[in-house]
Amino acid sequence: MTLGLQGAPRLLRGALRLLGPLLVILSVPMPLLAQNQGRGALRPFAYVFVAYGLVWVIIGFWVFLIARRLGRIEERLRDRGPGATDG
Amino acid sequence: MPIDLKKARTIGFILSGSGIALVLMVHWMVMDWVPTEAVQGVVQRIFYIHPPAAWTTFLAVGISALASLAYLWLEDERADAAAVAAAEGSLIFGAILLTSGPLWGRIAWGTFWQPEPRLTLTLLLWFIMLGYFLVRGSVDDPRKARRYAAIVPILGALDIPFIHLSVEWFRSLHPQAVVLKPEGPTADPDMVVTLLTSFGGFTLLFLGLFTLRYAVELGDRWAQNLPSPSTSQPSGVAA
Repeated sequence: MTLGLQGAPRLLRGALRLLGPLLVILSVPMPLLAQNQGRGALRPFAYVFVAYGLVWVIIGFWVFLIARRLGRIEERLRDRGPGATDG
Repeated sequence: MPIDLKKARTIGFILSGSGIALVLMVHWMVMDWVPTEAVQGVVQRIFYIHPPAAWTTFLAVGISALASLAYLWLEDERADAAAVAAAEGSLIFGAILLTSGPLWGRIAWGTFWQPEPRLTLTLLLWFIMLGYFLVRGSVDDPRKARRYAAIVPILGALDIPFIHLSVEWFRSLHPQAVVLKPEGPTADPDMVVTLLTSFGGFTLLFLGLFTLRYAVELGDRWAQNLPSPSTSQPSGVAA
């Protein structure tokens, strides 16, 4: 399924493919999901799933930022040779 | 170098790794072990991340405020680096707090957001901590920027008691404490164990990432002051 995103950047395409189903779950009227049997029964599960998923997304974002900065410092130190970390 | 990067990285990995393990264990407890709350049903399971995120946000703001006070007093670069690392952590865990709460509220209250005291004061705290970075970036002189910005987390820390007590002082949609009460917790013991495990996991995760971020902040400042390889060595650095 391309969703008409051929021209979009790769990262955006990936993010939309990941978030698309979640947004559908949150926005689709319940009768479509539950076929009127137990109306609204799935919505709390979806919200719990999204809440726990967001914990990892947000923590992952911070880990990514820290790892990128740490990588840059180590690269800069490597460029200056082994003596740069002494002292 | 002002910090042993390898040692800080090891400590950071151990703490954050333990935190991740505990949070994963909480995931299992939430999915498979803890009983479902009778009134709210499944959505009450957001409870096991929401208060721990709030506690970690307050811890981060508190560390940032104390480090900022230390910087204003001593002008020590390490205190400023700790304040920056903790302030960043407060924004991260504050984002978890401010996203998990509305998701819970949408099912429990029928609305994502209600302009009531605790929610408004918590959002204010998040923006105060965002302001910390805006103040740092808006002054050209780095020393002045650090001193001006150091006031901001202290103001943020003053907001925390109001957030905590707002549910008792005002009529509020937000429920009162069910665990940290003078007469002891009123929740099911299994729920309390899960919540306390989550508190431990979030705290260790924050402390681990805070250690890494602190080391990166100090290391970055030190590396920026290094001369290029063709020029002379900086003072205090062995050849």
